[in-house]
Amino acid sequence: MEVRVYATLRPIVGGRSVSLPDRAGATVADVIDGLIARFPALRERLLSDEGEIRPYVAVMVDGRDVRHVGGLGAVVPAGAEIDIFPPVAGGA
Amino acid sequence: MALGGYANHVARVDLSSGSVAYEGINEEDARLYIGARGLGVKYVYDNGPTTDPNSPDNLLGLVNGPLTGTEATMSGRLAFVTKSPLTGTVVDSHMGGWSAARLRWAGFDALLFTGKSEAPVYAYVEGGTVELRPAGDLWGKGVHETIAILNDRYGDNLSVMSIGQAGENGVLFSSFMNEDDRAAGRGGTGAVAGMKNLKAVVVKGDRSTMPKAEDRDKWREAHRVALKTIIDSEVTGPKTGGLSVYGTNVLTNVVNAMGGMGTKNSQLTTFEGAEKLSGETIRETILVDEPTCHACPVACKKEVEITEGPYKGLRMESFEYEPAWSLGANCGNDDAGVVAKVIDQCNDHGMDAIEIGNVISMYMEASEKGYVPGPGLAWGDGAGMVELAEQMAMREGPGEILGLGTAKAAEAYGHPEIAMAVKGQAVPAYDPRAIKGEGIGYATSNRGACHLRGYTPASEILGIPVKTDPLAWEGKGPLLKIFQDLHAFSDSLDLCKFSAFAEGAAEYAQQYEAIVGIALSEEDVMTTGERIYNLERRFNNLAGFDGSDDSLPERFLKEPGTGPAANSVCELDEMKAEYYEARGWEDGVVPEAKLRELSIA
Repeated sequence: MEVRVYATLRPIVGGRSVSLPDRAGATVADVIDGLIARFPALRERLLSDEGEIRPYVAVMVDGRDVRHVGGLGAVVPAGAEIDIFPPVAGGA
Repeated sequence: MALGGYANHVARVDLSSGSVAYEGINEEDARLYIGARGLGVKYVYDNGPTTDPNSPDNLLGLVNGPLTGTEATMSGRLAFVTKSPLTGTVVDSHMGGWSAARLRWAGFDALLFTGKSEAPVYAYVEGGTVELRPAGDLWGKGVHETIAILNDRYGDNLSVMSIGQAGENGVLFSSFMNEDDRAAGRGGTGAVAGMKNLKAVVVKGDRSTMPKAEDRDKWREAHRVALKTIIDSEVTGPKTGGLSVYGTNVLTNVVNAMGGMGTKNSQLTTFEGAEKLSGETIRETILVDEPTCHACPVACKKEVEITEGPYKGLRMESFEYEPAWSLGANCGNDDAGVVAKVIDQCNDHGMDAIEIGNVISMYMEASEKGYVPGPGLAWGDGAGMVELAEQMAMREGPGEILGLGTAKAAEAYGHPEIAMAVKGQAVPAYDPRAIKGEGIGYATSNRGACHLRGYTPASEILGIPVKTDPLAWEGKGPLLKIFQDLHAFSDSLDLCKFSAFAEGAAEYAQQYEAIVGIALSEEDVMTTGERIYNLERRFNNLAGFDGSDDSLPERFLKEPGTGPAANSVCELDEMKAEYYEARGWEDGVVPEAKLRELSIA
C-alpha cells in the first residue's frame, strides 16, 4: 500500500509517499507501526507517549480522519487511500 | 481618557470640504467595543445603517486596536470598516504588514473619512496630523506604481495604503492595498475609497513612538506567555510549524484530501491538480523569500518567482491558500504561474483575490452552459483568466458586468443559481459539504460569505479546541458561535487571526489588561466578542437583513460533493436552528432583550 505524507513529514521520509507491503486485515495502527519501523523519527511526530495519535495530527483513510471512523483499531480496506498530515492550518 | 493603550486621537476627514477635525476616543465605546473591528463597526453603526454605501455619506474608517503597533506578537493589523457596496452589510476588512503599526506610531487610533472630494486626493499622515494632498498624478495608476512614486516622494519610515484602478472604476470587490501585496481584501473597501476620490493614505512614523504598556510588569509576563504559545505551537512555531514553513497554502492538500476543495465552481469537491498548487510544491519549486509583518515571528508570507512560461520573471508575494484555490481548483486551473499572475493583478489593480476567482469560475460555468454571449471562457484557460482579470479592473468588455461581483453578475446573466455567494459576497476555500461548520459560518457571517468570522476548520481539521467531525452537522451551530465571538475580540485588539491557533481568551485577556489597564476574565473576552458580533448583526437588521439572508447557494444544499464528500450535502436548516438558539436570535434578528443584555445602545 501507498501511504502519502505531507508538509513537514515529507523531509523525514524523503518524498511524498511511502510504500508498505500489502497485508489483508491490517489496521491503522499496523500501518503507522510499519511507517515508524521504516522511519523511526516519525514516532514522536505521529504518536503520543501513550501510543495514541497526537493531537492535531490527521491520519486519513479515504479522506476521513480515523478519529471519526474507528480510530487506530480500524481495519484499512483494500485499496484505501491513506494520507497523513502533521498539524496544518492557515486561513488567508 | 483613563484607558491606556490608546493614542486617544482620531481624525475625522471630511473629503467634501477638505477639513480635518480631531477628537479623542469615546471611553465607554472603547470599553464596550475595544478597537479596530469592534470600535470601527460602532463608528459605521453611528453613521447610520441605512446609509447608501455608494453615497458620499458612507463612512470609511481605518481603525487600530489598543494592541496595534505595540510589542504584542502579531499586532501589525488594522481594520478598514465601512458599509459594503458589495453586500449592503457592515464590513471590517483587515490587513497585515507594517501600515497599521505605523499609523499608531504616527499618533492615531483611527482615520474616519466621509464625504467626497471634488478631485482625487491622498491623505498624508505624520506626527498626529492629517493633510489632504492632490492625487491627480496618481489617479489611473496601479498600486505598485503608486507606492513607488510616494515612496520616492517621502523617503524612509513610510507605509503607503492605496487603491488601484479597480477601486477607481467602481469594481464592487475592489480592495485597499498596502505595501504592494497586503490587502484589506473583502467587501469592496476600495470601491468606497474610489467613489470618494481617495486614492491613498500615506503614513510616516517610526518605532521610536511605539506605545508602551500601561502596566510594564504585567506586560512582560503577558507578552512572554503569548509569545511562548506561538513559538511552542506545532502550527505557528517559527520555521517548524506547518503555517510558518509552508504558509497558508499548507491547507491545499489536506482540504482536497477531505473532499472539501470546491472545483469548477463547486460542481465537484476534489481536484486532481491540487498537489501542483500546494504549499509543499510551491516551497520546492518557486519560493524565493518569506517576509513577515510587524512583530510576527511566524512569517507565513511566501514570496515566489515564476521561472517558466508566459509569466516567467514575475516575482510576487501572497501565494496564499485562498487565491490558490479560487484561481486554481475553482477555475479548473493547475498552473501556478497563472495563479501568481492573477493574484499580482489583484494586488496591483486592487481587487479581492477570493471574489475574483469566483467571478471567473461563475463565468466559466455560464460559458459552458451558454448563458453568456460569445464563446466565453473555458475551464482552465489561464491566458483567458488573465485577460478577464484585466477587463474587470478596467470595466471593459465582459468586465463591465463581472466587476459587479459574482452574485450581481450571475443575476445579470439571468442565472443567480450559479453564483457561489452569500449576501452578495463569494465563498472562500472550504466546501461546506465536506466541512460543515463553514456552511453555517458562511451563511451567518455578518459580512457575506467568509471563513474568518468563525474559523471552525480549527476544530474540524486540527482539533482546536476539540476535534469535531467535519462531516457531522450536529453541534456546529454552538461551536461556530464560540469561534465568532473569540475572533470578534481578537480582531478588535487587533491581533492576527492566526494567533488563535496557539493563543486563546486567557492570553488575549492578559495582554489587553497589561496594555489598557482593565482586568478582563476569559468570560469577559467572550461576552465582549458576543457584543461586537451582535452589534454587527443589529446594523444588518436595521439595514434590512434577516434570517432569510442567512442562506447558502442551493448547490451546497442539494448536490452532493465528490470523493470523501460524495454522499454529503450541507444541512443548513438544522445548523441554523442550533445557531440561532445559541445566539438567542429570532430568525436572524437580534431581539431587544439581547441588545439590552449586551449593553448595545
